[in-house]
Amino acid sequence: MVLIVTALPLEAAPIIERFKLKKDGDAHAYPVYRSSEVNNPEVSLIVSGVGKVRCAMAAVYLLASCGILGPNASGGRYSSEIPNNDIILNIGFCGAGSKRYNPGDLLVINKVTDMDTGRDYYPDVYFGRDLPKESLLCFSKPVGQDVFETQPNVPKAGQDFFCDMESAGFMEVVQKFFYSHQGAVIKIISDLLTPEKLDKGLLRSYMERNVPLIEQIISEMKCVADSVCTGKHAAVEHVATPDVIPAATPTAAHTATLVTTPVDGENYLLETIADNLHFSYAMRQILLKEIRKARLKGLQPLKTLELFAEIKVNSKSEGKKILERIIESLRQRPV
Amino acid sequence: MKESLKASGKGLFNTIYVEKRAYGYDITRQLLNRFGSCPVVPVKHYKDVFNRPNQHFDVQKQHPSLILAVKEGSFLYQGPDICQDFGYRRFFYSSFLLNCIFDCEYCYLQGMYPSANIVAFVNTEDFLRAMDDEASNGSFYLAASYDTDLIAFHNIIPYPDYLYDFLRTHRDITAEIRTKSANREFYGNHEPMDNIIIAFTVAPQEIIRRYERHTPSLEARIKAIQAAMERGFKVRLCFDPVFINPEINELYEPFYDYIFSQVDPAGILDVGYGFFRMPKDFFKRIEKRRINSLLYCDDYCLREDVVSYPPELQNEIREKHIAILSRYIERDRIFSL
Repeated sequence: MVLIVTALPLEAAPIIERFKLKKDGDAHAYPVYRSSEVNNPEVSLIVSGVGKVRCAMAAVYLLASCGILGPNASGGRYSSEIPNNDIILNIGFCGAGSKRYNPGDLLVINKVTDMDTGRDYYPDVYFGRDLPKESLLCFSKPVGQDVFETQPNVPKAGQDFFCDMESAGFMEVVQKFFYSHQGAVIKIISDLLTPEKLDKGLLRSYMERNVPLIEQIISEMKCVADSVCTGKHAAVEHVATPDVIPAATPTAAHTATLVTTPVDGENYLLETIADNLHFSYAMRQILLKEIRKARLKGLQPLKTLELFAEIKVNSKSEGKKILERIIESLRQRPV
Repeated sequence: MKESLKASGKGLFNTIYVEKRAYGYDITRQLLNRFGSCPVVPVKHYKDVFNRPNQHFDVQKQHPSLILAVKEGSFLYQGPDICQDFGYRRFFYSSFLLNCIFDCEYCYLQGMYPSANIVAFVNTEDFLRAMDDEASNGSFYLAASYDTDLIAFHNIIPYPDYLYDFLRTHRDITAEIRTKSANREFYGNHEPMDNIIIAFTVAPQEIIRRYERHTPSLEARIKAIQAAMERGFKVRLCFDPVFINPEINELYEPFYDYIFSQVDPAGILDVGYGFFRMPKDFFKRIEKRRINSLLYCDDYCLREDVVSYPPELQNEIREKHIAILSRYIERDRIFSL
């Protein structure tokens, strides 16, 4: 799933239009827009309001509303599981204390500094090879030309910097709930530290102009995220001398089909055995791991599990003894 | 020394992170000049990037970033029991680099660090000063390329060159540079020295194919070994890690025979031999992540917090292998763990 957080309706509008998103009538705390389920990629967008706290709150609300986070999330996301193939983007405007770029230019952010705490965040950026990459300063208040007098930690006049009001809150959410390559901060320059002179029509045109680039970024990010799920990591594009890094030879492990998810029969038997033998959560996980290992070794765990499906016990300690027998059987190669 | 830094390396790194205090060092200046097109991000401390939570090791391994940092604290570490000391009483290792450009499935670094990005320390003089201080307590053995591959990385940062200049005047330090690199040019461009040992890690081609991603083939490594020996380098062969598995066991005898048909056993210094082994905590972390790996599915034995094959199995295979190796090289030149 592609999750997008914007601060303003103005930033969201061209994206909503491009992906044909529809307002979610069930979401009341924030405006949330979603693509129909048949769309590829599946996109959900939330308009957070201005500021890092609002951005962080809205991002978490979006995760919960999509079933990615919360007690009912698939894969137990209430625990420490990270959704592998979802990506999340903060897309919006930023101010520029730089003449190297023009208003309307798109920047990929590779470092965010929270100007209140001094804390730095580093998203892993594996997309937009030819797009400009910059660091971003996240302020709690709008930043104008007087920033050099009012803010102690900004670069001196004449040095480049870029600023927004959401990215630090967004990165806090990314850091907590995603891998570092799954979150991206994409900023479009709205002004050269003259926030009082902004023109809505012009800003909308900046966003519209960059929608194709945003689409490209989403596509590249999805490619990397999906490669983690399929086990086929995106091709290395490095230029290296053969003596240093010779061409990669695909290994069995890298080309193998994923065997991590139990097949239906195994799942059913696992549940049955776990219930019959009063397994704890940890015991279930141990058995799950042994089933996966057996399948990876080319054994047939289903047949072994069938042998134990009818056994019932009265206590956890009895169940533990049976678990040891199941593991022993799972590890044995058929004669 | 500086020539290799100037060679082109465009596109090798995804991003270069630079500690603010590292900007003042020659290595940093030259690398930034060379990798001009790579995004550069200043950082306060390398751990701010390297130790971030929720980094995906495999994704980073595919697109590694370079972190240039200034090392502080200890520059030399006592050699651990899990590593061979080759008979030296005083055994230390140093880490000019954290992580390695290769991607070996059995490598413990995956369980040791939270990131696959490469940290390169730029204050080489401080490393050498620490070695100099230690040498004042007596001669010692230095594993310089202990948990990385400095020769493979030589075309990016020529660490062995910095060591060379130092070791030329410190003959009481014996340095081992362990490598899987097929960088033959290195041996043509460097003088052999009595106190430098080039330790080549070699394995059957099938093992290389299965487990040693991005590394040179056996043939390429043999050519590098030959080049080093012809040039007069002290060469060690490391059969480490050795794997025990019904599918793999039969690979070793023809492999040893082949190696010694290509490499004159009389010309090598000695042989290192060891089984696949790993501290328990690292193993657990990797096992959790490499859910498709057959290697981490095998049944191992846990002894003193180290995961490896059961001792009786190790003894059986070791005896068999050393009997084969003894056809070529005296037993007292085979160092086994």
